Amino acid sequence: MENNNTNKPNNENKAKDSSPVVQQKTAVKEEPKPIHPSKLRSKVELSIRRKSLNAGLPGDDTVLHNPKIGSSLRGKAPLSGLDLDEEKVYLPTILGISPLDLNWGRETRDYWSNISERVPHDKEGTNSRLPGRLLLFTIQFNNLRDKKIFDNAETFDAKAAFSKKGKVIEGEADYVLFRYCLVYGRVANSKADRYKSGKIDFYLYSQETESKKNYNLFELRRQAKNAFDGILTDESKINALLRVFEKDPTDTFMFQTIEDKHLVLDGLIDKNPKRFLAFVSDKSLAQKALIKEAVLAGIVHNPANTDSYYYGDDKQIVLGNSLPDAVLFLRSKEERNAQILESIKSQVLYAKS
Amino acid sequence: MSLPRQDESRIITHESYNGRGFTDENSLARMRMTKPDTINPAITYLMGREDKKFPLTFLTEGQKGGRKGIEVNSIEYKFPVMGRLKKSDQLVRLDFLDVATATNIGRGGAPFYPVFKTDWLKMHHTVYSPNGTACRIQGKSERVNGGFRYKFVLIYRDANEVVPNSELLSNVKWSMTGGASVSQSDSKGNESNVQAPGELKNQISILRKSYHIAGNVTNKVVEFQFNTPKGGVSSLWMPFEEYQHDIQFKEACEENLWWSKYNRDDKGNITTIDDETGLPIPMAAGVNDQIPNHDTYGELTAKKLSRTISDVMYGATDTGHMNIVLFTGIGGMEEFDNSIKRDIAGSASVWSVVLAGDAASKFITGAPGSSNLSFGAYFSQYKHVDGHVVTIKHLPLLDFGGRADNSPEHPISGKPLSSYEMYFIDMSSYDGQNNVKLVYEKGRMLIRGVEQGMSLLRGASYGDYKGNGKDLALATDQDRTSVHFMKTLGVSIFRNTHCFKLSCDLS
Repeated sequence: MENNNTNKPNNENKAKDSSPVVQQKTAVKEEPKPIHPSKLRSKVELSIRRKSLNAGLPGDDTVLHNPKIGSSLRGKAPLSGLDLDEEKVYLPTILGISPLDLNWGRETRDYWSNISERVPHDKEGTNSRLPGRLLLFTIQFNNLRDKKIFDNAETFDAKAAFSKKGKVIEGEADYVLFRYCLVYGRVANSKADRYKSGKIDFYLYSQETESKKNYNLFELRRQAKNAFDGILTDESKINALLRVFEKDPTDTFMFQTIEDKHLVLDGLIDKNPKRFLAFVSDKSLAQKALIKEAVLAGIVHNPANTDSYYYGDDKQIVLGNSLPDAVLFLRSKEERNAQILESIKSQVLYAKS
Repeated sequence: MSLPRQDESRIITHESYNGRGFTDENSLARMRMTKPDTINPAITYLMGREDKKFPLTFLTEGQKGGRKGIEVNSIEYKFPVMGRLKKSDQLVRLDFLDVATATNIGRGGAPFYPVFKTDWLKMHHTVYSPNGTACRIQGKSERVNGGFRYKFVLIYRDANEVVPNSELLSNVKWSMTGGASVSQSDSKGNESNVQAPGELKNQISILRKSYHIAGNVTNKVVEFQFNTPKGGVSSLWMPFEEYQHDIQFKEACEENLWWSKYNRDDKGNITTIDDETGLPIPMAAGVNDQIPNHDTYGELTAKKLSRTISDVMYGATDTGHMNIVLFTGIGGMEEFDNSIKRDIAGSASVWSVVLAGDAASKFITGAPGSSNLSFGAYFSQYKHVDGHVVTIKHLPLLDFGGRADNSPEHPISGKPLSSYEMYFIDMSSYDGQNNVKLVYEKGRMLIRGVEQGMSLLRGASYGDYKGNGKDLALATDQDRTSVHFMKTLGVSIFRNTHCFKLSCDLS
């Protein structure tokens, strides 16, 4: 098991006195301070909620509907939420049978085949913060580091992965159902994913996770807007950014003033701040913008639905199979590549004129 | 791009040419002048006859002197329903006490003041919390911010009994149970609730189908013999083509009844618009859309089956006899049978159990010593603990219909996954009326029209069957005749509470 470095005393190497009494004290200080097990526990609260289901008729009392999380197949076997080792840890308590029992295989198979868990309507739950089917479980970790990683994980998938570092000491059945939902195709693993497939009927929800995700987005937007503030008057950079976002800054219908460009970029920041931050700090932004401009002018060919770039009369020269590859190609010190870069530049210039 | 051949719909064998300068067996074969021997001129239906596919239409559309559908005057229709009688209300908060820190709430009969969402709970009634704490409502509720405040007192025997704080958290439901108890004398009257019925809405779909013939294809005889609807055989092409169109349309209608997706939004607007006319296209909620209860399975177990049937039957005590039909494909029928047999066998081999004792005679039939023994017996009914019976009915569309065509394969059997879908439908009669009924617009259940060109259609109902013997009233001068169908249809399940969909799921 990993050592918990965060609990080590800061002054562990400072004591050098050789007197027996002090030595004894030093020895005591070197022992990592034990952490009470209760501080290494993570209590998890989340719920399974119904997506607004397209079932019943207008006027139906949807509270009375009975949608369930059921069993499924993966390959030729029933879908299970745990691996074989985890089954041996958690299922004996639920099934009341030992893994050494001859019927273990059949019992576990039946357990997964018999999953049938009603998801109540949001109005039915007793926890207003977590409507739907409440899942509560507590995980005991062995060290603070694992607990922190688990607590800070943004997604339920990540939480499930880190949960394996600890052991569920309370709410095993809820934990097993949680793990099952993560692999069951009818439950979206986050609220944002609930419309990704027509098959999805439910989603996992936790106010804490949602808040954390929204705050991270807010933080990214804030950073992106700060970065944007710094380049507001740098029109060449603004134009380059527009180009990598597939907008044409020379489109006079769309952009009559630099303020129009600001507004468009502001909207793009709101939609995808992470991408904006990546572009604005990208050292090869100018080259990327040049390639995009050349594509727009028909000088470089970028086939639809691909990220490949070709140059030449017969489009026989592959610049790269991605935009960064194409930049590397044009940056290369080889004479031929430099010539191509110059040629593209002059053709773009000519197209502009 | 090659243009489609105009005559592809009418010419069975295209003309072909040989420009090689000589003729041999190969060129004759290429020109289709020689053929391999045909050992059976009647067409072999590789996937079975198409006309047994429509159980829902058969069960709802009505037979002679049998069931009737419902005629409606407009596209949208509604019907009144009464849901479960409400007896409970949800707590909003506790007034005058902090539920997080308060202790001994209600001890010794001390009143406390919960606030509920509505004034549904009535004075003097006994109310129970989810965990069985009983209280009496003292007096009438009063309207306060966020709901209605009540005065509750705990009903107790032991002076140490209290109301657990967890029963007083927001959203906890308290329910009136056991009426309103009053003192032996001098009591006052109390109040009662009345629940009005609600309404459910649905609409009908309007389906069209057209086909066109050109030239003299009606009189063309082909090399095969087709089965005719009346049981005979014919070599004429047109009756066969028309039979195909009829079957295709019937299949489309049956599929529509099952899987049409309701397309009005929350505000009642139809969301699908015809871009040619700009007019809304109403689509009914099919059976699938009307089923409010659903679950999934991978490998069906008897436990899952039993639990599902329990869910289906839940609250069905008001009926003498329920007729639940389980519509499913071949895959579902096999799973139904296997789940029961597996359960009977437990950890032993299925055959060692079903072929032991008296059960053996049900699986092996035939005279003793006979060389004509027959093996196999299958479960197709399930009797519930309260006597109601679930009966399987095969729905071939799940095996061979449009949905089966693009359904993923079942990983074990290779059949389409749709074949394992199970629809438990309550086909009982309530108040003298079938629970599942076909609905159609008055006067437009099915309209068939002919846009007459010079091509003749055979058939007494088309008006042109005398053909060359009389002048035709033409709708077009083209040597082309079109046949159009229009049908309005929808299905209404009055009590959908006893309907359940159990799907086989792959993750």
